[in-house]
Amino acid sequence: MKKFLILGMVVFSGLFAQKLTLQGSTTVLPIAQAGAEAYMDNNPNADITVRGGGSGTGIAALIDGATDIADASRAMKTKEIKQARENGINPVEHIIARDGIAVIVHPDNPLANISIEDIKKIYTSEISRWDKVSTGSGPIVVISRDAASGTFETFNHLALNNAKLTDAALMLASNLEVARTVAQTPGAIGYIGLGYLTDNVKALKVDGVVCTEETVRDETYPLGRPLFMYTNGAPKGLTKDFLDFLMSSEGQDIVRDAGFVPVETVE
Amino acid sequence: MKRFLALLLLGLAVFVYADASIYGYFWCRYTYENPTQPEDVTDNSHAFSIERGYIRWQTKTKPVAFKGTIDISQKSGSTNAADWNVRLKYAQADWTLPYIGDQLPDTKLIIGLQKVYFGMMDLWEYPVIEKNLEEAEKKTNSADLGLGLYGLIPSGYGEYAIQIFNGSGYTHVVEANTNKAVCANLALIPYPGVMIKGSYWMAEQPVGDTIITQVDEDRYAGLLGLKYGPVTLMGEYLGTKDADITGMGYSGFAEIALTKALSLLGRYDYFDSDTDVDNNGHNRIIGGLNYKVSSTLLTQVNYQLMTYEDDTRDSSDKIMVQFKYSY
Repeated sequence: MKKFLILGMVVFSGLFAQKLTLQGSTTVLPIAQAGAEAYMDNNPNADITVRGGGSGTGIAALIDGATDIADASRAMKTKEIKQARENGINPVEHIIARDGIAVIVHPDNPLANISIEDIKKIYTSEISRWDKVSTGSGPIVVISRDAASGTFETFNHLALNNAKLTDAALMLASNLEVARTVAQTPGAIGYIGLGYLTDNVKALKVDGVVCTEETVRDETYPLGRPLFMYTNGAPKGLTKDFLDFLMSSEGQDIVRDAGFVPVETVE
Repeated sequence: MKRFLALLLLGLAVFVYADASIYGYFWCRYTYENPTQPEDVTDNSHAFSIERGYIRWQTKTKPVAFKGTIDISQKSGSTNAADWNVRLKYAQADWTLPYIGDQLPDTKLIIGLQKVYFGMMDLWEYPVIEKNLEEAEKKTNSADLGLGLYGLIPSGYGEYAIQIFNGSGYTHVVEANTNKAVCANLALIPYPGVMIKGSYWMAEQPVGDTIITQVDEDRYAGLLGLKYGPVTLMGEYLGTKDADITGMGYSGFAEIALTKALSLLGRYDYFDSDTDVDNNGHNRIIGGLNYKVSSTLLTQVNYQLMTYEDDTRDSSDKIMVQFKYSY
C-alpha cells in the first residue's frame, strides 16, 4: 500500500510538473544548461529540457511552436520574424549575456595583433601565408564554424562583411572542435566564443583590442555580440520565472561561470 | 529524355561548382473518380500516379544567389506510361541590392523564371491536394519569365513584390504577345497571425494564334489569413476580366491541427467565369485529413466534390490519397 501511495505521488507530481523547452544556439547552450540545472535545483516541480542544434534550428522551432524559448547567438532575421508573425508567433527578444568572438592561433604563432581587414583577407583566401601578416612562415590553415551556426553568421557579418568564405576553410561543428584543432595545428587560425578560450590557444588582439569581458561589455572589441533568448510574446509562467532567474545576480553569475559576459556587472 | 539529362546535368554543375544545396519533392497519388453516369465508367477511373516531382537546387552565394527547379510531371491523357513533361519551373538569380537591401531588408532583384506573387498562389503549399483557386481555374500561372523586385517590410510586417513578365507562364516560355504582364503584390501582417493581402495582374493576351488582336487580361485578388494556435483560416476573393468578360470567385480554407502530426482540412471554392451568363458558376468542396508520418513524408487523404449551377451538368467527385516525399 505504501509503495502504491509513493508511486501514485510520483505520477501525480509528474502530471503537474511545469515543463519548459529551450532549443537553439550551441554557444548559448552552456548558459541554458547551467541555468536550467540551477533553476530546477531550486524548483523541483520544474521540468526544463535544453537542446542545441544551432541558432537557426532554435528559431525555426519557435516559429513552429515546438519550443518555448529559442536560444540564439544572432538576432532573428527579418525573414524569420515575418515567418513567425505569419504563423501567429510574436517573437520577443531577451538579451541574456554578451559574447566576444576571439580570433585564435596556435600558442607558438608569433602574431599578437590582427586587423579586421587582414582577417577578411585570410578568410577569403586573399592572404594564404603567415609571412604576409606576421614574422611567421608557412601556409595558413583556415578554420571556421559550420555555416549553420550563429557564431559563423556573426563572424561572417562582423569580420568578413558577408564576403564568401574561402573554399579551403575547414568547417567544424562546435567551438570546442575549433579550439582543439587550432591547438593541435601550428599554422591554424580560427574563431571561438570568449567562453571557450583556454590556455591551449592564443587569442589575438583585433585592431589592437584584446578580447575580454570589459572590452566586450563596453563594445570596444570589434567582434562582440549579444546572446539572445526569444519567446513567443511577453514571457509568462515558468518561462518568465526562468528568464527572471537568468537575469538575476545568481543567473548572471552562471553566465560569467560559463565564460560569457554578464549583461550587467555582477559584484 | 535528352532534355531531362541536360537539365539534370545543369543542376549538378551548379551543385558542384557553386556550393549549392539540392533538395526536392515528389508526389505519389491514388485517385478514385466516381463516375456520375454508368457510361462514364472507364479503366482509368482509379489509378496510381506519380503526378509530379521537383528537383531543386539553391546556392548561398552573395550578393547573387541562384535557384532552380526541374519540374517533372506526367503528361495528362498520355497512353505511354513513360511519357513525362520535363521543364524548368524556376531558374532565377536573386541579386540582393546594395544600399536598398540595407535599408529595406532582403530587397532583391529577381531575374529569370520565377514564382508569381499573386493572391493565394505564392502562399499555397498544397495542404489539400487541389491547386489554389486561381490556378485550379487556370486564371494565373504559378511561374513566369521576367524581372521582379521583392522585399520585406521591416520588423516582419509583410512583404511586397513588383514583377514584369512575358505573361504566358512557365510552360510557354516563348513570348506570346507584344506587351509584358505586370504583377503587383502587397502582403501585410499587422498582428501576429493576421495577414491581409492584395494582388493585381495586368496583361494583354493574343486572340487565337495571332498577336495582331490582343485583349486585356486583368486579375485581382484580396486575401485575409488568420492563424491562432492550431487553427488556420484563409479567405480569398478573385476577380478576372478577359476583354469584356468578367468573372469572379472566392475560396475559403480551414485547417485544424488535432495533434502535431494530424490535421483536419476543408475548402470551399466558388467560381463564375462569366458573371453576365446565368447559372454559369461551379462549386468545389474539399474535405481532407493530413498525417505527417515523418519530417520527410506527408500522407494526404482528400474527398473532392464538384457541383454546377447549370442543371444539365452532373456533379462529380473523387477520392485522392497522396504521399508527398521530401528530401
